[in-house]
Amino acid sequence: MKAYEALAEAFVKEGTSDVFGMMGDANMHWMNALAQRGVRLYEVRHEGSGLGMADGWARTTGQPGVVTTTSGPGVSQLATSMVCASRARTPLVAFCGETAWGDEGATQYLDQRRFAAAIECEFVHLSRPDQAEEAVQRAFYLARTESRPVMLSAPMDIQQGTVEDADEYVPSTALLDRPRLLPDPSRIAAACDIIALSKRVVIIAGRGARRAGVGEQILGLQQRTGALLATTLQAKNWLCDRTEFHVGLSGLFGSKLAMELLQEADCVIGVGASLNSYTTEAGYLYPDAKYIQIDTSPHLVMGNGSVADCYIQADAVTGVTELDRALEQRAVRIEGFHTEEVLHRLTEPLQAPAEYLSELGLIDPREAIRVLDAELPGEIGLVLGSGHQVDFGTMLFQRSREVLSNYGMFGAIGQAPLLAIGQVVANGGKPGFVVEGDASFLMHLPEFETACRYELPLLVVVMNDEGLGAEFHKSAAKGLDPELALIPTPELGQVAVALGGGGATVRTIEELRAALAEYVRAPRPTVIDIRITRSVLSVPYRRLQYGEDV
Amino acid sequence: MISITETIAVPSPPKRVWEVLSSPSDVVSCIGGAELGAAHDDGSFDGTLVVKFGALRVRFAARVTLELTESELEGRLSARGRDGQGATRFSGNATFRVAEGEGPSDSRVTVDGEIQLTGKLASLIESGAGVVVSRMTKEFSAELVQRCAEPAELDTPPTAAPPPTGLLSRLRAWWARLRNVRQEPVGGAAEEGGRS
Ligand SMILES: Cc1ncc(C[n+]2csc(CCOP(=O)(O)OP(=O)(O)O)c2C)c(N)n1
Repeated sequence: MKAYEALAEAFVKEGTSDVFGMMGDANMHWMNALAQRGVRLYEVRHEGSGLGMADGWARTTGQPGVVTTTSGPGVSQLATSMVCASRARTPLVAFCGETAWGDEGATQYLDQRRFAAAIECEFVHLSRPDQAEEAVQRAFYLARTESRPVMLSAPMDIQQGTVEDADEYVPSTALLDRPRLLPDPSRIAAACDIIALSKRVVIIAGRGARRAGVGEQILGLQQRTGALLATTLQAKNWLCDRTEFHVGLSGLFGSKLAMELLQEADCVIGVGASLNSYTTEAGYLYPDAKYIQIDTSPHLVMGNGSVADCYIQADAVTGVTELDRALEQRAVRIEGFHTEEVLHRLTEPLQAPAEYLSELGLIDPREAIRVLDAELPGEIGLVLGSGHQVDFGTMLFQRSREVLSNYGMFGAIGQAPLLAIGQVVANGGKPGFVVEGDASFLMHLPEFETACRYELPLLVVVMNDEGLGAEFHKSAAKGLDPELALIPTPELGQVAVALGGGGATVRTIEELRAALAEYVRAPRPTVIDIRITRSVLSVPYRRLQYGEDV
Repeated sequence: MISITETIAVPSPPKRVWEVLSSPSDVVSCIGGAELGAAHDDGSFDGTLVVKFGALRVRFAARVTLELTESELEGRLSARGRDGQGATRFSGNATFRVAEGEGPSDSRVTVDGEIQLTGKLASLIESGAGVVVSRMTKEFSAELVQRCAEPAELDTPPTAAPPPTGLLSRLRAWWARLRNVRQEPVGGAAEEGGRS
């Protein structure tokens, strides 16, 4: 057997079913071998975009995503998306071809090991054909255990080498034997001590809690402690339909009311949440709180630069269950935030602003979000994009649905539609939508054609202010010339149709509703280009740029 | 760094304005959120100041020094301290001078100073910090004008130990004067939704 076949076989045994990327001399044999083994190949228009898709796929399935490139220039295209995946702690394997081993004069030669280090991924090199299986196993093992991207770099001549028919491949999963992490009883007791003395408890549920499916246990603990429930951005809207005492996001994107209430907390219980500086506003959101943190990680330093007052290393379900049981034994029950008054205050921010801005042919972005939330059923998952516009969706989407946010993961614009494509693939073709800025969407526009080619029912909602809205508004705040950040766009609805999908450019709410109805009736790759006004500044911008208490 | 250059027109005679500006407790009363703490042997004070950045309330504690040159009607206020989390330090100083204004019963107060914030808060609040300082300065100016218009208080018995409210007021005053604030661009104001 050839080494590239052994490599392909090993990928299949690792569970690889979908591969994103672009073919070239140095990976085409491997791709052919994969196709022969029934793996679905997604040919993309740019390798970095393919990596973004593999990233979205992995964040959805929890399994390592796979992207592939040829040597040199194929690899260098990966840079931005790779750093982003790395910062997001996405398990991922990039199978990258390489010029013939040792031929540093080759046109496409690149020191891929050094490049990998610079773009923040692990590196596994295939230096001998007979190590093909070992290399794949190691790459996947690293991706899974370290939860980060790994570049598997394979010189084309080595791939052509012959491998003895090997024994049965042992996938990296066979090397993983994770024991359940049970909480240390003394830590549980210490946490009880803190809670028993508290009057205003806040529970913050993060991505880890959502993944662990610890919802019921959290709701039980919340009931007992009279806690407000808040989520991190990564768990946005989770459980919001299950408790009246849900304040939404903890952090800059939280409502004014949430910020006010959260600052009253005397105890914060973080579950599957790193309590990073975004979530806690570097600690300033919880000036008087003691922290209890339940997480699987061996070490965690919170966003305020400290460790929790009581850190409980445990899986979320066992940790919360044990804590609740211990509190019950001590007959702890706190009214806390669960009062009529708080309830009354909490129902207010859900109401729409009394008046939306109306400008001829332009829609108020806040109204656009409200209509999107109302018209798109909760089963349709959401990916949040970048730029100034993302603030509106991040704050205003209210419906309980799967939400994926890329905020804070390297801050590159344009990744969201790629993540969304990967997510639709991972979900077996279930419809999904992404809300993105015009510049961000246009950055990887060709990949909309990829979505069309594979008939992926992705809805791209472009919040189009015909410019770099973020820079436009920041320029104004800094006394620079905002006009420099304006860039006109063509009618993106028509562009989408030309690329093989559905599309509409909408300038009124009625047009928006009609376009959404068409998508919901028969989901297919679609772009809705919403022309929005630049006259509405987002709440986070008003806070950050103008210090407004909003 | 946030610099402050402010000129406040006060419709009261310089003597009265000086009286207010050289009294820590008066100055404190012009600053919302400021409290004076203990006085130290070296003449410095402790003080606290709660500043609202957006919806976030941040409490600062500082050691404040006020040097007065009565003959010149000039004072120099310096303060250094940190916030309650210990995540942000600040230092600042301001020189103020009371001079005659348009008429004999008017004064002109000029304030020159700068504030240096280092630590987590600096990146949390971006350009907003300058705006907040400038807003506080405006509020202070308005309060100062009002305060000076009131008759000098006679009711504070000289022996009554002032509650922990004197020192900080100076600090406040200093903050409050941070006006016409020019804010240097904050490095790394990344270009995502809110910040990154
Ligand atoms: C790769 C990359 N290039 C440039 C930037 C700087 N940047 C941040 S937001 C933004 C504007 C994005 O515009 P758009 O997608 O239209 O959204 P808007 O801000 O208008 O809502 C830019 C250029 C960035 N963050 N990442």
